[in-house]
Amino acid sequence: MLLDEQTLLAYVDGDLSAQRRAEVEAALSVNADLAQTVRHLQGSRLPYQSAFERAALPSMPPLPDALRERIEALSAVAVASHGAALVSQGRTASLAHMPPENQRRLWWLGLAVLTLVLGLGLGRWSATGMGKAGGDNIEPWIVAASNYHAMYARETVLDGGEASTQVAALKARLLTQHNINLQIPDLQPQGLRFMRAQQLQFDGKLVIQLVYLPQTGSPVALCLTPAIAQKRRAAVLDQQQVLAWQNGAWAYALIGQLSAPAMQHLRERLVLPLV
Amino acid sequence: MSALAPHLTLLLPKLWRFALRLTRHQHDAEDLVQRSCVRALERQQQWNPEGSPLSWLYAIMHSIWLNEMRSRRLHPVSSLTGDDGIDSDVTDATTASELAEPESLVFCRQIVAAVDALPEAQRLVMLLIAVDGMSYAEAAEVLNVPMGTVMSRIFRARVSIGERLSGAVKSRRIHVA
Repeated sequence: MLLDEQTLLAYVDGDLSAQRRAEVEAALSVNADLAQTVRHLQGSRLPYQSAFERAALPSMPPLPDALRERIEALSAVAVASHGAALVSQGRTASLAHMPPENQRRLWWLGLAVLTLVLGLGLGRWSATGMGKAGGDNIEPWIVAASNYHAMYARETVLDGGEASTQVAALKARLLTQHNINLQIPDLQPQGLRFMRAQQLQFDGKLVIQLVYLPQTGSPVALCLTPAIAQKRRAAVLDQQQVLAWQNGAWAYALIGQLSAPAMQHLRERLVLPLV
Repeated sequence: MSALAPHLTLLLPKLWRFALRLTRHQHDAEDLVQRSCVRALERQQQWNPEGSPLSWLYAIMHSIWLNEMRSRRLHPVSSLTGDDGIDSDVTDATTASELAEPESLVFCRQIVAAVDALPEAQRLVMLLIAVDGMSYAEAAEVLNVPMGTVMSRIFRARVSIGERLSGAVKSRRIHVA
């Protein structure tokens, strides 16, 4: 008879019928190697769960409070952006009937703020991971922006909806609140379609993120923030190319999964300043 | 309302333990849990609420970790010790409490060591099925492999463990008898 692995496991675990069990035992009686394998399998019937609870669990580090708080904050953002009640100034407004694309946008906006403002620490692999280059010399705001951008999938950007209305509102807000006249670079000749602009915040400072989509592949972000002079440098953060430079009173960073020459080419085609 | 978010906080201790077992490194585990939760929330439309949230979250975590390992071109070592490694050395350090129940705790440690010594693919199926109590189908979903592959890995893992512990099992049974 044919004894496969599944049958032998069922045999040692007592999951075979009496007839099938007798057939296996007949086969074992004439095959010493098979009988030895079955003896090893029988020796592996062990109390794994309790063994790990007793011997492994006590030596495991406890769940860090900071990590728990961050995940709870992420979950709260997800709940708020997917229709839970939003309480504001004593009034309750329901988001339950918000269109799905707006809910998604709100989730991403919430995550953006959370990521940049709280410094979620997603950059540890990026900044110090083995095999990665250049992370140690990159300014923290760029690491945060890169980590945030790394969470963008192509579909996320495509789901974002029409950019023109959103951009017009952002430009008006930047002008009235910050006296900033933002110019959106046209990168169509370089094969990049402008998709969205967001106002973010890192360490209390304004960060403007412009997102472009190439014909294939992941989105590319152009980020800028008012900052003191920084050296121009290129690096790889979490598989993303980052090209950073200074122009006037603003620091810029181009972030995306493009080749280093392609990033440099894009940088050279940008007409600065943007503000 | 996000159906997944409440599961995240409830399952966080399990996610944490799985991340520690995957990475064998506390800092890597923290990053892995966080990235997995972000990705899960980002893609929660893909989650079937009738399915197990745990196996779906484990699958995301395993996928992220595999990619990280590929990008580092490294594989986890069998045991790490130190500031942020998880000490799984089971060969020494008998304590007073162990002496109170020497055989039981020592035997538990031998079981843990036998699982930890398995090749990575076999170690993972043992952790999912024997330790976490998942079904073969759930383990296949987590590891993104056919169920036959899971069966084959668990078979080889159990033969190895039985072979390694045969002496320990024998002496234990003799002692108990």
